[in-house]
Amino acid sequence: MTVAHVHPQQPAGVSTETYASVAVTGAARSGGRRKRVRRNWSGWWFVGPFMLVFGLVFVAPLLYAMYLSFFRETLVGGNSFVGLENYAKAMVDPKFWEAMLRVSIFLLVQVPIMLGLALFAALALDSARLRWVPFYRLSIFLPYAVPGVVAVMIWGYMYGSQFGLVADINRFFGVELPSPLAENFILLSIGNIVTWEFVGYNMLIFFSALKAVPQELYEAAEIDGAGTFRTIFSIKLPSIRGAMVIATIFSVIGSFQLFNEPSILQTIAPNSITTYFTPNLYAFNLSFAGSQFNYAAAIAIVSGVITMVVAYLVQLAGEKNEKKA
Amino acid sequence: MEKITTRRWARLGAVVGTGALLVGVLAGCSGAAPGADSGSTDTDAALKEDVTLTWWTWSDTTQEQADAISEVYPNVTFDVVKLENPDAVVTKLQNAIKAGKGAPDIVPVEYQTMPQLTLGGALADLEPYGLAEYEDAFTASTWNSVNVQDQLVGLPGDSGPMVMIYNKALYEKAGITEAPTTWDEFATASAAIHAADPEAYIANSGDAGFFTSMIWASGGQPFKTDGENVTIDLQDEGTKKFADFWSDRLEAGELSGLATWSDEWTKALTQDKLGTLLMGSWMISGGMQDYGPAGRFQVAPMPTWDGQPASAENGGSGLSVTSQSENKAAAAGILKYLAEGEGRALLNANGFPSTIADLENPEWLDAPFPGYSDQPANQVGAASAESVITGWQYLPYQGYANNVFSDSVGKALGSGGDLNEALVDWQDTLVEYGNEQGFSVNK
Repeated sequence: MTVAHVHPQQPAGVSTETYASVAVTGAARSGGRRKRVRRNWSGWWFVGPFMLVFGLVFVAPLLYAMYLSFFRETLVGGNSFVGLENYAKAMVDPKFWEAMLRVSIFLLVQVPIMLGLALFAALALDSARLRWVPFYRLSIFLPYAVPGVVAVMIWGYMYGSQFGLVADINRFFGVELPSPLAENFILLSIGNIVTWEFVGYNMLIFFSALKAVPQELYEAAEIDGAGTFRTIFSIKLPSIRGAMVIATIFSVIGSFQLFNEPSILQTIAPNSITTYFTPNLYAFNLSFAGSQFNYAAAIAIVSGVITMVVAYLVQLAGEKNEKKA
Repeated sequence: MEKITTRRWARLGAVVGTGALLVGVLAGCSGAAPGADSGSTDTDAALKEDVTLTWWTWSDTTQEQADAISEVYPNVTFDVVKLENPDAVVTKLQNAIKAGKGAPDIVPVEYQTMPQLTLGGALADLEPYGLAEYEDAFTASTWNSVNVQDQLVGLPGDSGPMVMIYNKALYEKAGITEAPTTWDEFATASAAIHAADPEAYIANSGDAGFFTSMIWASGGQPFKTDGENVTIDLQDEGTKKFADFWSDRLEAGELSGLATWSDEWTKALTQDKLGTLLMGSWMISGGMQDYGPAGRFQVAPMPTWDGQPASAENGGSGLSVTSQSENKAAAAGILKYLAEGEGRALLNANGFPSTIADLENPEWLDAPFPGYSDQPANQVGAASAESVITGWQYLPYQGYANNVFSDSVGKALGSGGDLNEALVDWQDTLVEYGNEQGFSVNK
């Protein structure tokens, strides 16, 4: 769990670092004219705290996980160096790939729906045809403010087909809805929770990007006689492409890291969610229930690498489109 | 030149910094730090010195117990840390053992996870501290549970000889006036209850703990451990007998799919939709009055195959001292205090006792429970304690086994699959895991 985790602050961190090193060398250069030997370290006071935390919570666990993944510690027989054996095992582990497949399906279905809804909401809020914009903005964003655990519990209760909301609907309308907690529907139900949780968050990203579109563009469009939809497709969407790429990348990473929702739903539907439901859940159960820390580390690193590759491909695709436009 | 040097320093700094962090992390994992544990086994002397004992728990009443003990031993202060549930305690303890530090002095351990924690070197052997002398005070089955691999790794706490707590009103509504005494009668009641009210079930399908206890009560002994040699046979006679029986209930749609302890499960109990709890006797005083008006529930012996008493343990836990504790003698002294006299009363204040004297105490046996229409329910539990089938063993990795139960048997329980096939599946996983972990399983 410590490993397959792309830190959201990473891009920001990199830019800080570059910025700081420019500042440092710049200062060193200007100082060097008068006194060559004296170095100016003040930049490190700014970067230092970040580097320290970054090293502590990101680099060190990553290195430690890599180190762990080269060993195998067993309940009987102790610890031994096994080289890449854990990775070889992961490559042919059907449970791991089943989990990967599951989050991939989740990604392909849930992310477009969630981002589509978020985009629709952002465009609606931005259309200047709505009254009470702050009210709608806050209401759509509110689920994001609900702690994930609470959100899953709320939904878990509604999903109950024997004594929950679904049961009430069944009884009231005299129908027999399929149980959202049954094995065949659980992924869909999780997708619904995740969408509910994160539409507002993504909407806010899109909405603030829309707010940054220069007013002159709209004026020019109006002069050119562009209607609402023409404005959306020719001005608004191209202007927020960057925000859309970022939101997609975050969602891709979020999908591969799926953990909270299935892990909490497991307590109400233990028979529908396997211990290897998602790669993260698999790694968690391997290490904390099965004491297979080493193999879990390898699984975490492999899924981390896959996540990074997919996120990078999404970014590449996004940039390519941007150039085209 | 200047620029390069600055860069190099920065890089070096980063490398050294990370390296130092890494070394710090690794050092934390390299076995237990030498502690202040003098190695003395004189528990009386240890309790006369000032000491703070850390005590993890999942119970709400441990703080009260700790306070009461502190009054007897004024030099001993307790740092009680409450965790969510037994699983959380096991996970946290295993992590602490793996990390080399952070384990408490005293920890409650469920009987079913004692072999696993003993094997992982988490628990201290209490025999040198004189705990073995209390053997005769406890029931054979609980004493057997705290003796693992020739070590005494705990003091029995509560116990869980199985009983049947049933909803009398729901049974009567279906025309069943007597508690079923055999599984055949149970099957009849099951069908009747579901027929009378399609939303009502005799029981829920159960989890790993329930399943293993039911196999035990049916005379199955699927797990055998002798040192590093493990035998798993989840198709032995007793196991198959129960699996076949439960498969029939499942196929007939007579079992509720609700997870035990879930909110929906609670609701089902309060709304008369769940007829039976087959559970350890700790549930007798476990607050059934919360699930409906007094007198609705009754306690009965577990049904059996042939009408002769046969039972199993379900749950229950003891107290252990961890191998990392720096105050083993003092911690063991506290356990000794809890093993007899006032301390034992304190130990038995909650849950179902495992001390023979208490199980035979008329005052305790005849105490009426207003929640069960003044039924002296402890008598049922005490009788069950006497008919627990001997010879049962848990796997040395039962925690893992229970965890992956949902992947095979749980799945079948959820979707109505073939339970015997699922049990074979579970067995395959457990055999593979055991062999990977260095045991010799089914060889």
